[in-house]
Amino acid sequence: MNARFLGSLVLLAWLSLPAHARQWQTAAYLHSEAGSQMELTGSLGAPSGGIRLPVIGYLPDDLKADASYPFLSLAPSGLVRWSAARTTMQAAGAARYHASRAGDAGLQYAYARLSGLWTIRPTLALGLETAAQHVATGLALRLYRDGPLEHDGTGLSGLTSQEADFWMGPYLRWDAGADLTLALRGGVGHRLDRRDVRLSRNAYFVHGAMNLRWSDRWSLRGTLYTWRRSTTTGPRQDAWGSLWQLAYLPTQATRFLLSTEMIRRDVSALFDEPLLTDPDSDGLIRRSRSARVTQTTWITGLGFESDAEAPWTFSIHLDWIRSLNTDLLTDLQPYSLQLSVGARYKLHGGKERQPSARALWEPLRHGIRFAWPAEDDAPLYLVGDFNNWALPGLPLRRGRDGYHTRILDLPPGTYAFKVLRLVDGRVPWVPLPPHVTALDDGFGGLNGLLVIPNP
Amino acid sequence: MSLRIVTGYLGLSLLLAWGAAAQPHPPVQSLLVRARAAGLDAEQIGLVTQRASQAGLDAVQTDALLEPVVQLAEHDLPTHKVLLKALEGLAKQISPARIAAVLDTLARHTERAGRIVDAWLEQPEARRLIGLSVAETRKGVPRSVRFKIIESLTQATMQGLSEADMQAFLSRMAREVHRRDGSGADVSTAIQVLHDLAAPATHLNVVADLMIVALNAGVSETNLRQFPAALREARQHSRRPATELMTLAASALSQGEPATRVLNHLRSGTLPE
Repeated sequence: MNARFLGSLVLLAWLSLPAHARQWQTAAYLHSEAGSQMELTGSLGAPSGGIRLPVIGYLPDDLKADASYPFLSLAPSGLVRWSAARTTMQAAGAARYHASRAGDAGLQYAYARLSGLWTIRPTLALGLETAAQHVATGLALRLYRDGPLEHDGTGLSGLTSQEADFWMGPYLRWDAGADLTLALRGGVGHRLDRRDVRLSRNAYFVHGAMNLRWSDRWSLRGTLYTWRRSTTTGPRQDAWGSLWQLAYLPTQATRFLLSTEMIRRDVSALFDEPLLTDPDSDGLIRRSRSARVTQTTWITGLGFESDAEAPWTFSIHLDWIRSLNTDLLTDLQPYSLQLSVGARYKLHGGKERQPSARALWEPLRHGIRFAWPAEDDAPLYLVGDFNNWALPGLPLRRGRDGYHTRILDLPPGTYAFKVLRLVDGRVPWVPLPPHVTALDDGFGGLNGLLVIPNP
Repeated sequence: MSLRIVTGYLGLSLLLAWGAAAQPHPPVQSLLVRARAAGLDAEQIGLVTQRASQAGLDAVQTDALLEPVVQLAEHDLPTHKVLLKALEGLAKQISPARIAAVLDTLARHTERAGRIVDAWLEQPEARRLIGLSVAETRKGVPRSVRFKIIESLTQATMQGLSEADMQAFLSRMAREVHRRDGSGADVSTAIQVLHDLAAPATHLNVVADLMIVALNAGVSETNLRQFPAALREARQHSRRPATELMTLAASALSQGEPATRVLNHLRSGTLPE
């Protein structure tokens, strides 16, 4: 059973899952790109000249174009997520099939990740994730085979450069605000790096990273800091991450200035290879320092009613790719410049259900079920207009799903409420979660608002 | 007068004073009489006085809490929310002066809302809007319907909407909502939702347009109440301005799109243009 067949099976399995079921979310994408690719080479080592540019990196002064040809790529990706009140399990995968007139058609990239997340508090989650990826590129080898380099007779010709990574580690996610998420990742892994028979090598590595995602009128998403150490060799990926982040911020301003309501233009910079990316990310860019200009247009209203983003996404990419490190093979460094247009179609999709954004109540046949996220085991009480603010209020029952609950049978109307806990006879009010509809109580605080509609 | 007699007299006085202070203070009798005459629920008044006593408020402080309630009742205005606010303040251990100030403010807003609603209900279109036939119109507007609309309007003005805006919205509803089978509940809900939707950067006319289209389309009260949350989700997903989303939602409703579908589109950020 080859990888393509296996990928198709996984995709079919995703599509057959019941997306309408409340605890299941599934998403599947098909991304295609067509464009032109220019290959360049320049000297490695200690060159006599050259410049070092932000984002792009070192450019030797003997950089010259070798070939140019069209290419086409097809990249399916998807995820399946199951959420209970405090637990989320997710499987995600992506692959990229790349074909060009240079004759290096094949599976260029495959990635799979399995993660479990446990919500400690509504804004804090701890998880464990394990992932595997396989990267194959013919770019460097093609240069040796067809390009300016002479084949040295050691069996390189016809081989594809391949790398397989497997890693696992803990993961801590903190929703610092309604729009800001910080994630800390760490872990250990194993890399099999196979350039040819002679150069196969195993590497064991330890890595850590801090990812940030902020979305408001402006949005920002990137790796704040990446650290990686390998027992054999590997690129340094430490303090530069922070510097790149500084370079990243002004690009957000550009994006903001160019934004319209329907068209979003991204100018983003990625430093080296973020170890963990979204399943729909571009596999090629993972392996390089890249500058990317993305224009994204959402077209809505094609009749999809799924709880998802718009089904079509169009993009224009300009990628500058420094290919794999070839230090053991040659003193020439291959580069590639790609201009492509792409389209992504969301075959099927659902959005993530954040445990912290769970509604505080759900309607029942008679009344509502009130559910309050549990911070700890301390008993909680519900007080408000419905019980004439009589203290200590109605006791909430702690459920196995991590929520304190109570069934309320109230006539239709709106009711102000607060939740409190009793500690040594004192009455500390419990703050409202940020997503709850709240009203100024007139006394300098906030009340939650329960709305019981007419049946 | 000997020293012993003076000391005994002073001791007896202190004992009497302590005894008087230890007893819960009943509200001033005249206030209770006025409350009863105005038709106020004795049980609710009793609850406030009991909680005030438990919180250690004296008679003057308790009267200050009850006075705005009684005044509202005397003007045939809703008192339920004001009484609840008094109970809320006592439960939260707010100082009596602060509670009284908040109750005064609430009572003033209720009085103004009452004037606006009463003037509005004079219009035949407004009466038809809340589902009154010509015969019923002669008898007057049901008290519960009037109270509900006044309470909604009070809440809206308390949260910062101007009286002029609310008057304009009520007039537009009377003029432009052509469905005449309303019960008053949906009018009251529309006022509440109007307030929830009216974010600082949103033009109130756009919100009013959406509400009027929704009422004309027969959107249920339940669905009407879901618009604020759905719009919040739509803004997060689509990053479109609220004004544009509301215009699109109003357009979809006016073209006959079911409200549940429009709400689903909003929640998923896929509202058709």
